[in-house]
Amino acid sequence: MDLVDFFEKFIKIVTRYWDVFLIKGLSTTLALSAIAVFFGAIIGTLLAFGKMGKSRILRGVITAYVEIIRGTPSLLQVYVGYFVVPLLLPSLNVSTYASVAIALTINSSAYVSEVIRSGIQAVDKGQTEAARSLGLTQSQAMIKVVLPQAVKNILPALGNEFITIIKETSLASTFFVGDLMTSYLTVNGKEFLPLQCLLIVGIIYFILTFILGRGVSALERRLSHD
Amino acid sequence: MKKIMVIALALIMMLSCIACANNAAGNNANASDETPVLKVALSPDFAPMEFVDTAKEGQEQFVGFDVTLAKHIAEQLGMKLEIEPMSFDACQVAVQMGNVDLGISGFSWTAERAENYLISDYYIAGDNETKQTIIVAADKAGQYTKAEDFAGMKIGAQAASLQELLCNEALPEDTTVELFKDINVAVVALQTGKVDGVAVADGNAEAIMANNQDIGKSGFFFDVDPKYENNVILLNKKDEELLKKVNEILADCMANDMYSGWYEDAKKLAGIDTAQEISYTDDGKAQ
Repeated sequence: MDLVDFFEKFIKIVTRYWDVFLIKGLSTTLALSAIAVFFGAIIGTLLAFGKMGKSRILRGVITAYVEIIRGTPSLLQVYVGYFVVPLLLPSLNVSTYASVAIALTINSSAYVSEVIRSGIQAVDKGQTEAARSLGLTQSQAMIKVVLPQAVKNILPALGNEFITIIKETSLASTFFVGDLMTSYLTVNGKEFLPLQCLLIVGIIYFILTFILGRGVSALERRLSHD
Repeated sequence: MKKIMVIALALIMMLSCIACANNAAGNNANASDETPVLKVALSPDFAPMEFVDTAKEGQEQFVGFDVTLAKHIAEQLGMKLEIEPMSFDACQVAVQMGNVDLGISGFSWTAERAENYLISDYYIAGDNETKQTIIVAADKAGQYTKAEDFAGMKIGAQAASLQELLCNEALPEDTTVELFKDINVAVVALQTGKVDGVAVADGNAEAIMANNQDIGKSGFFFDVDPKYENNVILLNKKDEELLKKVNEILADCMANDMYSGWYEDAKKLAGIDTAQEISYTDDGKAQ
């Protein structure tokens, strides 16, 4: 392979299609990951509290949910999201984008629920006991004493989940929703220069996750000082 | 600490809003229109049959031979075309599950497909399917003329494609057929020496060679059984009525010789001619 030729074509693709990668692809990837992590965090929090709750049946259902989601490939979940969600809700006319976003949200909710549960359970039991002995109710102890400490464990891990989801969104390209990997598929489908297109996409993914990764470590340092 | 949280939250909300706005725009367009919708699945990563014009947005961005055909069918049926882009293998699932009405993505007839789907009459996309070849490294171009020449070599093909079937049928026993999910990955495998050749349709080979001077045609063409030569449309087993109408439209297209014009247009859009001109001026090599 001729390196000069390779980079000449690389430059050609960049100058001709930079907006497809940087504007359309990047924004869709960011939006999809933000939706998945945001709603995933909300659902995940509910799941985490359900799993720590008293109802045995609820605990069983949530454990099954989390295990199934964590035990099957994300690509398969995206397929199920795309093919099965519209069949279950035919009246809603769910768009491709929405069904893929739902699949990614469900995926992230399972992982986030474990992050939150372990974050809360990592807070020493003595904290709850001390708060209770000072006359706080169970929920007061949770909200005022345990959760503020748990957040320190949870936030950095949530940041890492965001980074993971950014990479998972590449699976959405199976249905051409417009993320970075879709940019690769569409540009390459016309130009047939797969290595160059993949290199561009790889660089963008790396810069994105690298910056976010730095942000997460900065957050970790901040929280350990508080 | 709080500031960071607020900024992060605001960012997330903003991004979701952008995404939702994009989405809502698409949905409203559907809701306001009363004409029934014809949903077509295709895999727009395969110039000149179906690919994306990156300068355009929404439904407009899909172009190529199969898209023209889909538009024509929708028009004749009095329906509004809605293209659902997805990977080649997902297209077949979508037809089977009934998520879409038609699968028009350069499908060829195979016995297995005939078992699982309703299959339309043939349509002819220029020479895209009639000529099936194997591409190799440019310095070996033209050195192979018969199937036996590939003995002991590794040949790549797209999984579940006509090319896979042809390789298994025609190439000698000791040829290894390596399957790829995506033809473009097979091309990279060829460029990096992981396989010695890749089986592709002739029209596709030209599109690939237009931008990759290190790849050439082997000189070998598969002996394609007439039943594989042309493309077909896949329908769900239940859609007998639609199949009849689609076949009538296809017969009409054939009678009026509409296909060759569409194919030439699609090739021009894909830039296959112009790209070749550039390669002449760049290194003076004739292709």
